[in-house]
Amino acid sequence: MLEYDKKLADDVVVFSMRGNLDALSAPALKKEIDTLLAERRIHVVFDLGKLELIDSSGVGAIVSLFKRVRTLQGDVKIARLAGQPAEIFKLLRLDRAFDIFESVEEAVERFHT
Amino acid sequence: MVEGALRGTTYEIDEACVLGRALDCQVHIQDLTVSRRHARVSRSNGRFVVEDLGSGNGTFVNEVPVSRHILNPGDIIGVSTLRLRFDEIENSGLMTDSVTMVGHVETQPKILKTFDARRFPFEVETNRTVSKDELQRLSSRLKTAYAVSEAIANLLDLDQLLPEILNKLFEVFPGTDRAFVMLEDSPGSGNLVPRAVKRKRESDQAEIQVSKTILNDVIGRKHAVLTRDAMADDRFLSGLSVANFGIRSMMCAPLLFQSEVLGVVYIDSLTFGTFAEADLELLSAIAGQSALAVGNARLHGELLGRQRLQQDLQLAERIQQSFLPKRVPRISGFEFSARWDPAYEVGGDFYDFIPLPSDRLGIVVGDVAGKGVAAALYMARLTRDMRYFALSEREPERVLRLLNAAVLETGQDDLFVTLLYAVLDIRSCKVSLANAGHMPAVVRHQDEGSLTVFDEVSGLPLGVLPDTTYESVDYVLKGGDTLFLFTDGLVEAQNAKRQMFGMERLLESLRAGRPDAPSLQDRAVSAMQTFVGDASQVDDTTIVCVTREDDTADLPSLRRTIPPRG
Repeated sequence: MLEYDKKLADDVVVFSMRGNLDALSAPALKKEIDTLLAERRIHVVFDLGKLELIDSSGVGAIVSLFKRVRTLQGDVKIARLAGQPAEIFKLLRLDRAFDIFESVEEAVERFHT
Repeated sequence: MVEGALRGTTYEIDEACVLGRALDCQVHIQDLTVSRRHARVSRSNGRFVVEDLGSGNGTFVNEVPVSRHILNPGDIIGVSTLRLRFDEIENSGLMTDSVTMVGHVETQPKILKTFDARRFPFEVETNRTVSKDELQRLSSRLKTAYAVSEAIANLLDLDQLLPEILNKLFEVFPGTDRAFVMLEDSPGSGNLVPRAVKRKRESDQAEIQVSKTILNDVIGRKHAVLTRDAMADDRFLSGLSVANFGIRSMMCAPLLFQSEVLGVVYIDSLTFGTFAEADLELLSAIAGQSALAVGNARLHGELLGRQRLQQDLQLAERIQQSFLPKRVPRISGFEFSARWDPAYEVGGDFYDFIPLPSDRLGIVVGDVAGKGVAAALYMARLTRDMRYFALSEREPERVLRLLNAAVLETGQDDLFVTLLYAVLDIRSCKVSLANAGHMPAVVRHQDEGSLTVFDEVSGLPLGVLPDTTYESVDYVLKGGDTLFLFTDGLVEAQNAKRQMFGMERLLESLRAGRPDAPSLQDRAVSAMQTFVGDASQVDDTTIVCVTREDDTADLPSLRRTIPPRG
């Protein structure tokens, strides 16, 4: 089960996820991501503070968005990475590809500096 | 209208219309020479008929006075000084379009008899004496039902089967004017759509209206019904000709297959009292046989679809397997084992052994993100690229850098690959490891409980960022050491509570027990399977192991078997 919530802070989309981002829920997230890109939203913060579990399909969805917004000169930033998702990010060395922040506010702020 | 005050006006007749001076006439004519209700044009047996309604000046067709006349396209209807041309608009749609379900039929049908379709037809009540005639009748009907069953049982294509069922219904019930079969639009949907229609007369194009109430009754209560239009009784009794009023008696039976309603068969007759109550039992029997044939045809169709999908997958599987090593290498002093277990027929996991110059062996374990045929086919391509780069670059970190560029070149956004590349020098037993976001390599040493996890040196997965650089780490395998490489499917396997098997449990299974490649592989797999239990949520899992055989291991036992000299 994955629940998500989309908020707009100026031109930054904050995407908060709760639950499991895995092979079952990743397709739904991919659809959301397509919508974001169709709306030309290229500054995205993933708030993973309440994400309990992520697998390679879930990472694939985030990496896909990351690659796509970067070609449009945008970026994806990660906030409140903890628990199992933090371990997976570390394992995949994605902590080196993404900017990771302690809070959503810091992540949003970084887009404006 | 071709002549008259309203010349040029077109009147559409759906079922019936009356021409006259009265205000409520559909074709309202303000002319004193026209009677209040002069003539009627209506549909009967699929044809349009004009009738004079007892007018003062008469009704004409092509200038000939008529009381009732079947109209042909182009006929000129004359009412007083007015001339109207009759034309039919071709019903170009599928025949099945002419069947509509309506909530309310003008003449609400009256159910005369029902028959429980779950019952075996032609049952003879045992506590009752049955006359010879009755037995004969039963026997003849059983024969009919059997003959129908023979004719349709082997038709597995619905497009052949349904028309044949309708043909048989016309043979068995000669009074039938129209018959059709409705089936669910998709299995289990409960939404019935007409699938085949047959009419006695080709000229019959009239819309067949079916009462929803009756259909719901047939489906819901799983019984066959015989109905007659309620108003027909009154009209019949009042002495009017029934044939002109579109009166019908009809029978409808559910197609019951394994107690599930697949659809209905429906027949009707425009002649009053065509179907007798005993016919209902026979229809129910034929419907039963038809349902069996429809059910079989449906299963056959599903099977064909599955077979096609299966063939696609098998093709992808063959392509994929052609790129996977046929067997593990046999190199003196080393023992190899490999296990490749895709979650479906095809998977994104892959491994490879690449013979390299100067007595070296490349070992690759990787995982293409994504599943199914696309990931499998990309994997096949990646394996080829990997072999090419492995032969052109000596350092594993340089190979990964080139491979990263190749993955990015595909331009597929959601594509990324985790991969671990190990180069084993057979003479020095040195392993050089380079990791692109993949699960870390683990070395199990000969002593129980002793492991080294190479989780420090790893770069980004392939295909995430351009110009990614990688590092490599060297390790010299000692006698009895096993290099254990795996994909994330092993640690991400989930149990019914959606907990992951995880790295800790995996390492635990590697610590205890024998240190050789096949033993480690078996223990890891069985620990994962025990943890997962019956949960079906599994990813591809791949394990590749290589053990440097311990050349000193047998020495102690040798010493024991050589008897001391003395």
